[in-house]
Amino acid sequence: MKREFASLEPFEALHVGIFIEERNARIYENFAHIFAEFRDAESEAIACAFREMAAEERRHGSTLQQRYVERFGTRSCSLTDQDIADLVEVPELTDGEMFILGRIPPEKALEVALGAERQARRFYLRLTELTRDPLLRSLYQEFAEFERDHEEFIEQKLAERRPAREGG
Amino acid sequence: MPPESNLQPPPGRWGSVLAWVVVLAATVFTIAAALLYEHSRTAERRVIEIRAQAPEKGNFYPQRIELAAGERVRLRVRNIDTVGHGFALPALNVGIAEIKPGEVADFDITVPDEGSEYEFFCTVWCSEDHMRMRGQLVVLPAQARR
Amino acid sequence: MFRTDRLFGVIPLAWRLELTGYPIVRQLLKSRWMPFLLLVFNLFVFTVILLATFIGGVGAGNYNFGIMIIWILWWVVLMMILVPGLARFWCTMCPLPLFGEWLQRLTLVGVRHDEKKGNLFIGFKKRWPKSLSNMWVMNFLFLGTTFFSAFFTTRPVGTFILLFSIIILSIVLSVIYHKRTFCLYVCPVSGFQALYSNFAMTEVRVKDPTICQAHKTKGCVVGNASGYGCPWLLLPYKFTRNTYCGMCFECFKTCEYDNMALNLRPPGTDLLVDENRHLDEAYKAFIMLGIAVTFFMSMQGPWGFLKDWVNMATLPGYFAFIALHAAWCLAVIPAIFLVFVWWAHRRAGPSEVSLKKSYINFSYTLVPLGLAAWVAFSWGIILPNGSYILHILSDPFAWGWNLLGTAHVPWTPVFTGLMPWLEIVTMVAGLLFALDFAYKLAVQTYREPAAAGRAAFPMMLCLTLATAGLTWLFIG
Repeated sequence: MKREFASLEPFEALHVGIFIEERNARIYENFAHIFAEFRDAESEAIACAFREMAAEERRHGSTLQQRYVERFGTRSCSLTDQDIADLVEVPELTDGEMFILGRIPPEKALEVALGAERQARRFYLRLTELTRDPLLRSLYQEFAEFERDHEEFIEQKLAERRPAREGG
Repeated sequence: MPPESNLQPPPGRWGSVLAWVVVLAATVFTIAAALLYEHSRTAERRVIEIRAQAPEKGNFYPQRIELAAGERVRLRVRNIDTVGHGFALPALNVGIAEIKPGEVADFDITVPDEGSEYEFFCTVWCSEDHMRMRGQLVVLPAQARR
Repeated sequence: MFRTDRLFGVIPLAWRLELTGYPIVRQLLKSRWMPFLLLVFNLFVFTVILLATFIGGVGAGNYNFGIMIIWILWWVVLMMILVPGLARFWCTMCPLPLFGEWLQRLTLVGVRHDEKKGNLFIGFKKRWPKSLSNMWVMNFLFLGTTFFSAFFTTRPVGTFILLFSIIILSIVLSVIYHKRTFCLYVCPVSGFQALYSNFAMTEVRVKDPTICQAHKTKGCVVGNASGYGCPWLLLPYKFTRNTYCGMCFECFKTCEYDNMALNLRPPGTDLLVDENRHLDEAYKAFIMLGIAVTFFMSMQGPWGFLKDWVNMATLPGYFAFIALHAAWCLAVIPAIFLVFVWWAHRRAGPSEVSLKKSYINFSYTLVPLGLAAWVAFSWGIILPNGSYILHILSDPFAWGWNLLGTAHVPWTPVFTGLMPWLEIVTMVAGLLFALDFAYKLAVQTYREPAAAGRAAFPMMLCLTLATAGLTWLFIG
């Protein structure tokens, strides 16, 4: 049964944040690898962008992990984003699908990434409203800003591709 | 009388020599070539293998790695589990989003001259005890280098 | 009623295409480099396998070269292509007994021959006990190895222990016993190849038996300067079944009259050869069918507790698995089959044929069905897991290599949506063959067509029910 945001304990909320960052890093890393395999200039540029985003998500995840350990030790937790009500599920292409599809449309990958970023930002914004701990609230606010930057970046990339598609 | 021209003579001396060469190539030379190739890839750096499993199955092994300051090593993280794991050592700016089951990931690092302990941890949610999947890289004085 | 000399009433079972009628094929089989070069290639592959499994330690099985090549690629190719198509062609190129044979002969590719003493061997050259000159040892050995299937097939060190043990055993037996005794009566892989090769579409036979009758020296048996007498201790001039022929092609090298032939033929031909049929082969059929069911249920089925039992998660569970698995293969399946044979025997009416003879004869209907079950099981192995092979070809020792650039190819199930249909088609094909041979075997056993027809019905019902059960198991 899914949990409401307000019912999350602080360690649970932070744990889900870690999960989201690590998941996003993995998605972007996979996309970077796939696009790099196509070996053309445009794909390499997209791969490079995804690699940077993956690195940033990894840093976010590491930061959150360190906060978690500092505050809560190595306490076990099984919650992930799928256990939270009204968090939109991020459609994730499996490795196999990506491999079989071969040349996946860049728009598809960017849309998946955008979905992931929007979910993450929405999550942090909700936590900012609900968290009483000032240090954690400040951290969530900061991360919401990061995710907004990512969102804008991806939206810009998508917008750039739309005129090209309509013209072609 | 049977037509003996139907029978083919077996390979002579050179045929036997060739047979020995082929067999040795298939066995001894193959093993030697594999080991030599791997040695050439890792000659400059000592390889430290870290096995990754979910905490309840064994965690990182070894969980505590002691290296001399300034030493150049290759950390080889091998996922021997059936789920994905990640690896991050933020202090040395190394990490990877995911190492799939059975795969390995190599990180070439130079152990810092300062600091005492650096933490590494898993970066893929692998179990309820994911947060326990961490280890320490301990920096020893440079004289301790092997 | 139905033509018993034609497969499905259409294809003459006596049809043959002699592949050695093509000069290049004959020259290839007469050369001592064949199968030597095939053997050495496989020796190379097995060297990599042994190294990978030895140093692979307890790593995840999926990305281990040994696990992938043996239990995914080799097993699937064996069941789907080699055995049904080429009989015991794997034995032609199997490297496991190679060291033992080289030790016996003290030569790799040549022939040590003395004009007076004939072919020269070292070792004690003892004869295998006559009472064990059948499939019973192989039956129990193969069944025994399946008790440790989880260990052997998922842990690299398990595969290493299995292969290394077989190699050592073959060397020891080669020193003690004559020629390919190990392959004939001990090798776990040999048993099911022996039985299922009766269904195969290839055979080694003499071209003209009258030549052999007149020929006194029989180079194919005693050997000569060009080759060794049959290493499988057979009489090539009297081959009537594929069962014990290891397709080493020595007889092609030693026959002074070029009277041996490699033929293409309709599948299942040897199932009707009523010679040397005994209970050991019937039990091999039961055991193979039983193992197919157990393996599917534990490896591809949804029952987690079975996986735990097979994986030795708990000792009581593991012992329960061994007991149930052994009982299933050795008692339950034979008993169910006996019920149907008894029914068939009664329906046939008064006959001089014993129930035991009927039981053994009808057990050969399980050859096409059992083979179909293994092919269906193999779809479930290769389609989901085949993509791992690309990875391990590039990084065979999991040292971070990327020899062919495919080390990072992700796991990709292929056509798994088609799997149920492939399994259904496979099982239906196996059933059709089994039904056809059920009638033919009934005629062969009871002679009189009406009696045969009455007897065939229960057997056909048994085969149909078994197929339905297996298909339900496979497709869920």
